[in-house]
Amino acid sequence: MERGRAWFAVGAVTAAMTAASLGATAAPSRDITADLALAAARDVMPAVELTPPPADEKPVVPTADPILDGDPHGGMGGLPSQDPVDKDGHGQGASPGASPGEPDDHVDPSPTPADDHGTDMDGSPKPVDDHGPTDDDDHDDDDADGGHGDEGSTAERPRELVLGGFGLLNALVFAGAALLRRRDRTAAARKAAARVEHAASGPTDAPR
Amino acid sequence: MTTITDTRPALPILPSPIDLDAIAPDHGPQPQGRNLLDIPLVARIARSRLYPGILQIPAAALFGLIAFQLLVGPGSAHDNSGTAWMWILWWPLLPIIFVFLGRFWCTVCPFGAISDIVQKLVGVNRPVPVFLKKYGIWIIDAWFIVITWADHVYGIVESPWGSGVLLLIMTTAVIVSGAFFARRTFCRYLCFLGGLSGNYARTGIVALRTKADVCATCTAKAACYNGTDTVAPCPLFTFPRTIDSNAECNLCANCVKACPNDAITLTLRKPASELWFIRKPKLEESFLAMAIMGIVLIQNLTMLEIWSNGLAWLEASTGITDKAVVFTVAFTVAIGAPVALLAAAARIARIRTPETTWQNFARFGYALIPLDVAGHVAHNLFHFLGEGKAIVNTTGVLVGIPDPGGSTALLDPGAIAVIQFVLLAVGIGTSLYAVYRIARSRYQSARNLRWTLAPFGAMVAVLAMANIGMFMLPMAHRM
Repeated sequence: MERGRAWFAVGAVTAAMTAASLGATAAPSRDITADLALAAARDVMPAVELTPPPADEKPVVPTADPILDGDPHGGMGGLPSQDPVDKDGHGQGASPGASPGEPDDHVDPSPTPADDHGTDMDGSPKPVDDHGPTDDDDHDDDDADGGHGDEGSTAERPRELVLGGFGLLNALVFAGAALLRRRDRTAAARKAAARVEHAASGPTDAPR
Repeated sequence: MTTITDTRPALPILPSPIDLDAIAPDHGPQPQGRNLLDIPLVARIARSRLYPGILQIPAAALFGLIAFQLLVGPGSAHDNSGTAWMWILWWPLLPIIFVFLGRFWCTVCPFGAISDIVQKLVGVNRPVPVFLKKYGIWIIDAWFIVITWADHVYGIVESPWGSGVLLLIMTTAVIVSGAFFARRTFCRYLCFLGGLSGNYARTGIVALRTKADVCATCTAKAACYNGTDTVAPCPLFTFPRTIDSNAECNLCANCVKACPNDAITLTLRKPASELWFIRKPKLEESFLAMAIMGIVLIQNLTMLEIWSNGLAWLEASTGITDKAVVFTVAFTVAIGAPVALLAAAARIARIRTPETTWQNFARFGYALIPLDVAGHVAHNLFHFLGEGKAIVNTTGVLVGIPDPGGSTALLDPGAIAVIQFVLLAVGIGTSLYAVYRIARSRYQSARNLRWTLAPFGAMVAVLAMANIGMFMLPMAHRM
């Protein structure tokens, strides 16, 4: 019985862990062309400046495949893509919080350098977008702290969810084990008490 | 003086060499070298109550820092010190530790420490489930393959967050195991690193064994296995009296402390010599050796330019653009090829030798471990020596020292290539020698030796050529 419950707990934990990790680890696959280029550049040229994409370069609109698209918000939150100019975590993804296959309605077709630095053309800070930040907002987050959104931003949510999920899971495991241990100890104590009682009642009560 | 008389009936004289091979004992016990516990300092360390805790504490602290960096540090692997410490320093050094000290890392490993702590706090100490005992190594094999696959498809190594999530998954698995099962069930039966270290540790030059004559008269009720009031039991469920492999010992020295007769020895031996003294070869362990070879090959392949060119060609000729699908196919082929090669060699050897294909598969798979280790170390030394300064640079940033930029290489590519080829040469030579010694330990007749040396030697040669070919091509960096 106890073993059955323990196994149930293990099964539940494993299932939850698998689900959490599946949701958490959708990330871009490896394209080594850029790696090779970057490695070569780093070896040949000291202190290569990683520049943001030019202003006239169109942002990549994600397709339905989160693996191919390198959506940094498909659970991994701001992963660096393999593009050398993207090494700072400027993923080419959809808006944070959007489903991997959902194109971003708010992608600015012609982002400017000013956009890359988190300001509008007039230099004022961008307003909070209810529909989630654009690609450029994603850049803002990464620029600000190396891949993490501002406090409370949607970009931070998957990370918080994953970390919280693991924390909760481990807490549940602790609680389950503690309960089982307590029950085991109670049962052992009861058995010991019964043995003492049995011994005290005298040999005549012993089964023949 | 007592003389021992052999009263056993004499064996009948058999007519042919094949029969002789069929009944010949595989080998005698592995010769033991100098006992390091005879050195007072080593003995004092092993018996100290501070060992191994004094090593676990800094390792756990560093692990915490690395995990923190990976999970909340810079999102770019290039800037993340956690990535540098984990994949540029720790991962390349790990197999080197295995070669010198067997599974010593496992005694320092923070996951083991977490398991111990959880067990003390809430441990239920259920016995290890039978299926884990039976299929544990297969589970480890699967774990290892899946994690390597996931690394390429989801991006673990090049993503600090991905690496952090991997650590979280492992931590959770360790907590579950520590909470419900006895001792270090996870380390022995589930940890993919444990499986890797178990295989590599067979090449280790330090081995924990016992003095058989002392153990024969022991009345301590297996204190070395069960522990005592003051010493914990063997965490890996190994009975030192019967231990004949480094794969199941992490040198925690609990048995050294618990043994009242000083019967435990810590001896030096020739590297890889255990491979030809394995009494009960296991199919799953041989399979793991082959799978590791496949993993080393695919790791190399995906960091080469030809991989990108191949992907581009495939896309142009077939229209397949899903890299995950292409990688999965390539990965399956890479893992399957060494396994198929070994199976083919075992099948050929089967034609003229008394053992079955699977017996040959299990016995000779171990011979590939030195080449596995060499390929693994050579691949990862490229990252360590080619990007080693990144460890200092990224750590410096944490304390306010700006990244100086420039090349992160510790050695120039030519010097790294020389080291890689020397390592490969040593690995190939040792694997070929292991084939020879395993064959010699099993067969005495020239014919049987020929029929085993030829196919298994050819298998090692093919895999050696594949490794050499890949190491001759330029490789991408990790950070």
